[in-house]
Amino acid sequence: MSGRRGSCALLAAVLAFLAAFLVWPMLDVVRRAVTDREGFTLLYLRNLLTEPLQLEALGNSLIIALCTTAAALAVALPLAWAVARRSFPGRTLLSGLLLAPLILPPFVGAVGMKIVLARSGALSTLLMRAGLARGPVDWLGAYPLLGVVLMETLHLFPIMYLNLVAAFANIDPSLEEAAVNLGAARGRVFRRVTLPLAGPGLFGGTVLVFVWSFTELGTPLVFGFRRVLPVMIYDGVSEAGTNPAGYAQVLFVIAVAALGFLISKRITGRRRDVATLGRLSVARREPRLSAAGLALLAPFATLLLALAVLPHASVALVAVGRRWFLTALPEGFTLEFFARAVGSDLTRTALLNSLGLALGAAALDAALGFGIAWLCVRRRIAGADLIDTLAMAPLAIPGLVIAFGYLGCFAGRFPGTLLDPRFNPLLLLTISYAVRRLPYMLRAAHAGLEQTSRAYEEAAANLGASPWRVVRRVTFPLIAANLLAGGILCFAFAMLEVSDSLILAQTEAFYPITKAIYVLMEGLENGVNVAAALGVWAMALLAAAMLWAAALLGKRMGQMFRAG
Amino acid sequence: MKDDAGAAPAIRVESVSKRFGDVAALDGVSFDVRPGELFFLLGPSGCGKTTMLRILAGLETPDAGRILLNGRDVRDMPAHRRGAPMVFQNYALWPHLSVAGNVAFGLVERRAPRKEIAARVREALARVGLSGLDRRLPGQLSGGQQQRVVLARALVLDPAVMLLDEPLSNLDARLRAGMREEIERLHRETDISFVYVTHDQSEALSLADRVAVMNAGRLRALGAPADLYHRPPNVFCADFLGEANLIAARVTGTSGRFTAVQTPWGAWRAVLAGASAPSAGASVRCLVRPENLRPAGPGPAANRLRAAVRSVRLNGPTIAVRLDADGTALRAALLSRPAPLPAPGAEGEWEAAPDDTVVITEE
Repeated sequence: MSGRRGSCALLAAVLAFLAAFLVWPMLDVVRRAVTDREGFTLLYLRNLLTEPLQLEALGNSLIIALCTTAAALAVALPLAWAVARRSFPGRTLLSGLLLAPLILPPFVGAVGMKIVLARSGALSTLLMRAGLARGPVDWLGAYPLLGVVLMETLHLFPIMYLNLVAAFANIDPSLEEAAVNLGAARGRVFRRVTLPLAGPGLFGGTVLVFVWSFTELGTPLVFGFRRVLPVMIYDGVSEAGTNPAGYAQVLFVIAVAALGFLISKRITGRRRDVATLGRLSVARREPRLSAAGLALLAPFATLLLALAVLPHASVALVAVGRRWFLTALPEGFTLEFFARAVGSDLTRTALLNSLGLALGAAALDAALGFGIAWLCVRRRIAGADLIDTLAMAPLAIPGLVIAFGYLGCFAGRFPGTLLDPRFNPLLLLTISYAVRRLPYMLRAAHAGLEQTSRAYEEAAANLGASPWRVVRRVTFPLIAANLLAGGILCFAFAMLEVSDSLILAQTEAFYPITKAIYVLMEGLENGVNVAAALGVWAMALLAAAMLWAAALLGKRMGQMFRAG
Repeated sequence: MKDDAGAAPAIRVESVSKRFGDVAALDGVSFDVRPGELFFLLGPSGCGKTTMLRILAGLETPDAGRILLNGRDVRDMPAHRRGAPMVFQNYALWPHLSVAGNVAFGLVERRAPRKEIAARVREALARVGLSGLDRRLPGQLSGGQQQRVVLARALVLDPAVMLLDEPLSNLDARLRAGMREEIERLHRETDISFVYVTHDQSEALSLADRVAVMNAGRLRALGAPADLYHRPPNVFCADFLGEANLIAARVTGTSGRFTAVQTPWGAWRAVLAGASAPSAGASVRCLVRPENLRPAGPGPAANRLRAAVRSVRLNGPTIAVRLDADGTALRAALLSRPAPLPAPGAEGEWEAAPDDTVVITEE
């Protein structure tokens, strides 16, 4: 068949891309972590576990990840159960609102919270006025871990929530009815049937949140908490070419992430058949949530959402506040910082850079995602499974690792070219954004192809369309909505990507938004305000993009963030 | 039948085989389709008939065997070059294209001029009675209308061969009867060879010029509907093409143009379905269609048996009678008359003419 050669060429191209920009940088990191001038050595890996400074950072990172995961689970479990298994007024609204924190990046929120939690900040002032504290307290200085955990929990619990909702909703109600029928009381049914069946989803969410919080760079960096592994890696970037210590740290992060995902994949894979057994056999009608349940749920959800929005509200306040020093609210308001956020060269360039980078990454993802999904779902040629697995891997690979890998892999080998981030990082930034968000696009494309009957394409071939024409006239238009939605998601994430932007962009002309925010914060007077205003601009763009994606994807939006 | 058997076949299928894993979907199937013929592939679900159709369309590749379209081997011809448009069972109307866009699809692929496309689409839609609906989307049409669009989408290409995969199976009973006539009319008005796949034997018997009966991947019979119905070559066809009384018998010799057989109710005479006569002493079965079994009359000696009436049911035009002849269950179909129905329990003589009794030697 003539389509065969085209498929193989496409497969080869995609494979080459993934090999160059995913596999090779990772392998390079591994190699450099265990070699120095004299050859193979485990010295740097051992240092990681023996040097007090590194050990402390490692410990802090683990504590942050564990606490964040536990807190996210505690928050998400009751919410997910209520939304998936009970009906109550405002359920649809709640399930939509719960996604908002995920979209609002903690890096930007942290800028605001830093002001609120500072010694002279709003929290300190309010507590003093209420007579609950005797003097001003520097909350971040006193409890840095707590601050990071709080920010990351508020950001990441929706991931846990989405995985749990999906897991609960996939359980055939007749399995629970069978348990009741055989004499199990309600609480026992939850413990003996519902929870075990939801196990894969629960575990998948846990792993995602753990890996994500273990590798989060933006929040501790903004809070000025440098004794965590991601920040140590970031601080070592300048000597990335010479010192293997950074590579050893990155290797450790890769190992943790890979281990988590391997376990999660095993657990998710094994149980799938059971959990979805006869899913459609009974039309589901959820019972109403009891009055007591509603009385618990309503304040809980309200408080949670208020807390989750607080950082971003504080950013907005910082962006418009004239003086916010030892007062509960700013003393005066101004739009000056908004104007400066689009007026200065640094910020305007950053906005334009980010827009271009995000558009480029989304387009690249659309092409890659559609190609890979098409090879896997429609062609089923040998090797398609391999690229599918490879392309999904970035779910488990932190942006920090990818950026570090690119820096080590390309900067020295191709100096002065577009592959040298020190010369011009725009190409590598686009690629790293695209690689990181490829899994979401791939899922969107997969779902689109699987929901589109093959018969549409067969009919087109039957009526005289060549394989390429079939794709152009039938396949592509039919799943365009999925691709667009996936593209918008990629765009939105790329706009506020933190770790790769901070690491790869090293000259002002190429700063994306996030790097500009970081640099502004460290810089001149009112820099924080301008940074916050820039953050608000970015969030507004982001919110618009996400609303658009949600309108296109509808209920399928949640599927994008699931682990399994 | 617009047949001229001497002309080169529109389609030639030579010993085509296809396996899916352990299952032989097709096992050495061969047949010809004549130009302009309304050719049926008939068989129970899973018999391989749809696989055969998809192989003709180039949507599947056979493991062995040859396909000739208009005398040309199409082994290396991809689906989009075969020019054998298919009417898909589930329609496969593209939801993103209007009715006109769907019908125009193949013409666009052929790079026909825009004006010509518009004219031919209009003509094709008129032909299937859908004029004026060209701007609609497929989702806004009824099932019957969608079926017509699929037909128009294939007809508009003016092909030599058209493939129809269970075209009536998604329609309700009343629409089905109308669409059956519609397809017959469309076939009559064109020179197109139709290859029509169905599991419904009444569709095949009423429409076909010739029928290929398939079972378990094999071709079991090929012929004109009346021949196959009245003289089925094997037990499978006898059973699948209609209700059948199959009576165990032993060949005793010949009796004029008839074969003499011994049945549980005595010596019968019967006609042969196949060309080769079974040797004396062979175990065979005698087919008597229910409509050929009737209460014995005073006429010339026919094949007779004694049976008791078990039940009687009025079907409208016919009366279905269940009989018990010494433990053998038989069925008879009598024309409805305003006379009293046979009473259950009544014993009596029943008979079938030797010309309506068929010796079947193959399973």
